[in-house]
Amino acid sequence: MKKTLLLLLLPIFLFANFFKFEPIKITKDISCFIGAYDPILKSNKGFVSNVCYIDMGNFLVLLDASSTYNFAKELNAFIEKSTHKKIKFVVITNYHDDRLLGASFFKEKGLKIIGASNMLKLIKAHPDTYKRTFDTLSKDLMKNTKIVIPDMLVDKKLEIKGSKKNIYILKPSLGTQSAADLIVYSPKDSFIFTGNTIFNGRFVNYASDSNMNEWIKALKFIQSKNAKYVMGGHGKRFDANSYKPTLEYLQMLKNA
Amino acid sequence: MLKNQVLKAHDEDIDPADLEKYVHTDKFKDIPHYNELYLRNARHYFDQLEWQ
Repeated sequence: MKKTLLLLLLPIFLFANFFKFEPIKITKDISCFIGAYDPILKSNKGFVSNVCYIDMGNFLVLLDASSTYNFAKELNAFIEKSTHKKIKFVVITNYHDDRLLGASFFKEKGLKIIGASNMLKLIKAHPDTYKRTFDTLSKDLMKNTKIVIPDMLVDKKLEIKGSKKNIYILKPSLGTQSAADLIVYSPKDSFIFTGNTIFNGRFVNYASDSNMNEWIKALKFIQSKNAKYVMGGHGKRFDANSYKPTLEYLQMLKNA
Repeated sequence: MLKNQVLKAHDEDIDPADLEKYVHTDKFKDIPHYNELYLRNARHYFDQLEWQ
């Protein structure tokens, strides 16, 4: 009896998903998934930064890929089922583990990975960034997860053209929280995804390679776009003023 | 003023009371990880100033 029960339950364990996705709809073409507010822990399975997708009409663009191959694989299946469309490009807004490592799934599928032109240099310079993820998360969850490098590099601006709209991958200054931070602007949706240039839900992390003046410059650039929706790399705020707490804190620290 | 104190005595810890004169903790203290990060953030920034 016990053996029969185990055999019946085995497929459930074998094919159980690690993640349950609860997207937030920003516009009719944009949805986001909000990461946990803590650093990478076993309990959050490495999903600690926001991930969004934009429907371009004839394909989708994914913005950031979280920390694991398994997250990306399950997210891809969820998005394909919800939209009946395929992801064609994956934008990685900085070199950190919590945004880059999931790109290993998309790289394996042959999708184009987009990152800042200085990303490779920063990946090589910061090996501990990736070690913490592999040390923290289980081997099962980390299976197939690798450090991958982008196929398309952005110096200042890259345009992606879809059948319904064009979007812009921008490097608004020399560096913000890291030297490789990108933002994604969709004028038609009045939407900006900012990666680590904006922190909400968790306190700003001014790192040793952050750049105070250039970070403020990037925030003012975001402000100048007057976008209706501004989604940071952390936190669930996506209103037009969501950049303000980060800007205010940086200006206070600069004046101290 | 604070940054000058830090540059003069960068081996010493930053005094939270000094920092709080400039960075209004009432605005940020309830944000998760404020306590872990606010002094470290200041150290990183002032260290950068020292190298400039």
